[in-house]
Amino acid sequence: MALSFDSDFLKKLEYLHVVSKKAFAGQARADRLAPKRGRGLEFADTRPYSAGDDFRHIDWKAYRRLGRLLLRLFDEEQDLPIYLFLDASQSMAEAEKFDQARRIAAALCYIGLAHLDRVTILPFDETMREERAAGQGKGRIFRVFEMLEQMQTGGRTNLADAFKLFAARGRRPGLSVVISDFLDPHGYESALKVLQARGHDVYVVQMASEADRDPGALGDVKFVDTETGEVRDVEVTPALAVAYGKAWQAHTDALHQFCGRYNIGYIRADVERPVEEIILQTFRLGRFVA
Amino acid sequence: MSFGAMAGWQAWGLLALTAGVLTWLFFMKIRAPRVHVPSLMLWTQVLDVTREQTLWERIRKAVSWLITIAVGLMLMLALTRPAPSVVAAGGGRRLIVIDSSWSMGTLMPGGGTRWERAVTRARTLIASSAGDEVALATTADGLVEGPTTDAVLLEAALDRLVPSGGEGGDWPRLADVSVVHFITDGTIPRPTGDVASGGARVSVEPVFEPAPNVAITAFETHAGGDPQSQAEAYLELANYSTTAQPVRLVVTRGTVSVADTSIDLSPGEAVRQIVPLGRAGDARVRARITAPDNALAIDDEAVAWIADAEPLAVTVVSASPGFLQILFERLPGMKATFIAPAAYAQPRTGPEHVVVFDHWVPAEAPATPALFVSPPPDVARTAPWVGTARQEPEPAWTTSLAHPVLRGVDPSTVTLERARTVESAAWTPIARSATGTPLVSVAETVDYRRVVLGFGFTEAESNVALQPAFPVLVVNALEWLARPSLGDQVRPGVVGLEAVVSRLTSPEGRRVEVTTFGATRLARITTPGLYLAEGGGMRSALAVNVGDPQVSNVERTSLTAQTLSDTAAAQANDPWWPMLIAIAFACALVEWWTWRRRITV
Repeated sequence: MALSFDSDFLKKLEYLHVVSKKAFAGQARADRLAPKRGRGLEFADTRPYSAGDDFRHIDWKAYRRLGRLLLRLFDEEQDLPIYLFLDASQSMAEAEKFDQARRIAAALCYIGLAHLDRVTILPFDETMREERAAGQGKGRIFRVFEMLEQMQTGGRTNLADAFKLFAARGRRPGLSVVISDFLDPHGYESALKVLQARGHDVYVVQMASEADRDPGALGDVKFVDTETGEVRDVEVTPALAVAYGKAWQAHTDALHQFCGRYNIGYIRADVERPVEEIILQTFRLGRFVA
Repeated sequence: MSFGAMAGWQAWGLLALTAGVLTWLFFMKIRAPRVHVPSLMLWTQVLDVTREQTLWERIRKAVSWLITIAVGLMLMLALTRPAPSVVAAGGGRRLIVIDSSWSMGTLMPGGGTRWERAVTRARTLIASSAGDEVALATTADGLVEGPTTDAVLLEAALDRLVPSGGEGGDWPRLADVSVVHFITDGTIPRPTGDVASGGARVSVEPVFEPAPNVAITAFETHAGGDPQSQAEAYLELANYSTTAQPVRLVVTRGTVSVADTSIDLSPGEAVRQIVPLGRAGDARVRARITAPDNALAIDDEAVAWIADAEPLAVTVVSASPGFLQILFERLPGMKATFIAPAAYAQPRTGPEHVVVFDHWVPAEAPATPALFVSPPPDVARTAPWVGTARQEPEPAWTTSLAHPVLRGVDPSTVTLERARTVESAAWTPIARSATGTPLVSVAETVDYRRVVLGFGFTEAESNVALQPAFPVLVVNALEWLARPSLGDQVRPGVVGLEAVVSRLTSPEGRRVEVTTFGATRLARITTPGLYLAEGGGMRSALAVNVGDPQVSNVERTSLTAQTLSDTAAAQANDPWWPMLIAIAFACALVEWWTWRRRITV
């Protein structure tokens, strides 16, 4: 699969920026307001001078009026750490689904790069694979494309184990976007809580394809689990097919409700919808980008 | 229950096999296709939940299986053509007699003909025979098939049958018949008591439904009273309906129309028509009628034959024809050629119907019909094939048999000076003298017809030439020899023919079998029309017509009201198979609908 976006879409992406509900300390100067005062251009406040402060920021006019040394403080604008967790387990092996996931990751990555954010792509399955730092600046997008194209699906899904490994790495908290189908027999709840506990602002992008929602087969069928290879003989009756559709909807609803309860952003990305529509409409409506 | 298409054990076996095969197909596990899914997580959840519903699903699956079995069984039942068993009283043979009168061809207002309804009823009876022996007969053909338990044979026989008259026919007698099913419209009244059926119980199966009809009930040609007319056609037309009808009558002679008229017939009215026929023209005369309400077609056409439409070619072999020449010059419809005995030679060439040998007999028997007048005394030597000569002076004509040759001849006016005739086993005297000398003899075989007159027409031999009997006797002899009348108003059925007729050809050119029964010849004629009869050098036509008021009046029946009321019951026994197919289709539709609506599993 060759990842590419047309120039119009890229231009539209440049006008967007990722909305984070929290302010995070970055590593370099950028467009994001950092939680601490720094050496930005915007005046923020004054405080009494203490030994060791930079003389250049003493407010001499205030000293003449008040006879006290006051230090002028400025807002610090830094980059935002963005972590794109991309599910690369075998359950995402459906070509359209994984391609769509990679497209969404690339688009979010480009938005971050355009605003000098520090974007890191973290593919995972039952473990956290090698992370890829996208760097800074929108010129790095082609490298991102290349990285995503080389990514392969494989292994079982285990969100909890993978995210515990990530937490152990001690990364600075930031905006974490988890792109997955969330078909994890071990559950997704603990994994998302781990991220939140580490101070991340978490967003969930649920990938869903037609094959996930409706198996489309009736009669005697051997279902093969693509991750485990487990085979199950099922006589899919119309009633059973309906029951499966309801179960899938319940699974989706449960994820949505969980996200709402824990202040986690939730966006559903259907494979059948164009990625432009998902980014420009769904992500905007979900207040993930603005 | 019985089955029309096969024996009972075969049908039940087929049904059991069908149920078995359908069950096997229903529960057969075909190799399931492999479908890769991202995760079995949700399927496991669903199956754990739905496992609680398996009892209900099993019930629905059982219903679906039962519907499948029902559909299959009903289709198979339809194939076997089931019918309710109509068991004859005490079991035993059953005789199905179909009335094959012409009236059974009546087109009924409800659709179809009475015959078609009768055949359908016969099929139902055969199908319901429940393994009993069944015989099939018609009033025209007698026993047609059986007794047999093979329904296929009986069905095949039914397919061959058509209405073919037999109004006067009796039922065939069969031993051990317990019930006779007589399928009839009752137009021709018949005895249906136990005596007529040989003691068996008779069940009358009516197929009557009143229908309007217009018919030619009589048609014949005969000599006209007008001297300018050669003949005239006599017709009777009748309107057997409850409304007045305009009837168009067309009479053709050969291909020439001689009458084309329209007649308004009141309900129940019968009219007579006389159509003059000119001297010249074809011998075949055909009458045809058309009317708006006309249920029976067979009586809409009638044929007739003008025997003397064509002049009779007569060769007179005589040294001195005398009065014979005078006679033939004056007889209408005769074309005589006179030759001397020395000029007579065989084989003959040219058209020649009869040869008259006057006072002379050829050495070899002639191939054409011949009239011998006063054979010479030395005939036993010159023509031994003709027999031995016998003479009697001044014989008295005292004995005459009833024969067409002598019709209208008064012997009392005849005075014979001498009789000179021949005798042999081939000759049959029809007139004798007081001493037993044959005066007029005839010979008739399948190969020839001959007449010998034991007297001549000269003054020295008799006064016959001066009497009215002279032309009558000669014309009678010539007509009998060359074109005998085969009868008027001949109806289809078994027809008795002149012994000389050896060949009978139908209007379609098909040869009709002629069988000899004792001294008579019989032919079975099944369709009306103009038949050509030949034999012994003669050639004549037989006009066969259905026209009969009793046949054509299809508005009424001889069946009682009680019998007719059984018609509804008889019709209620319609074949089951269309209903079975309809139910099977409905079941399949219900199954499909419930599947579409996901009501069933």
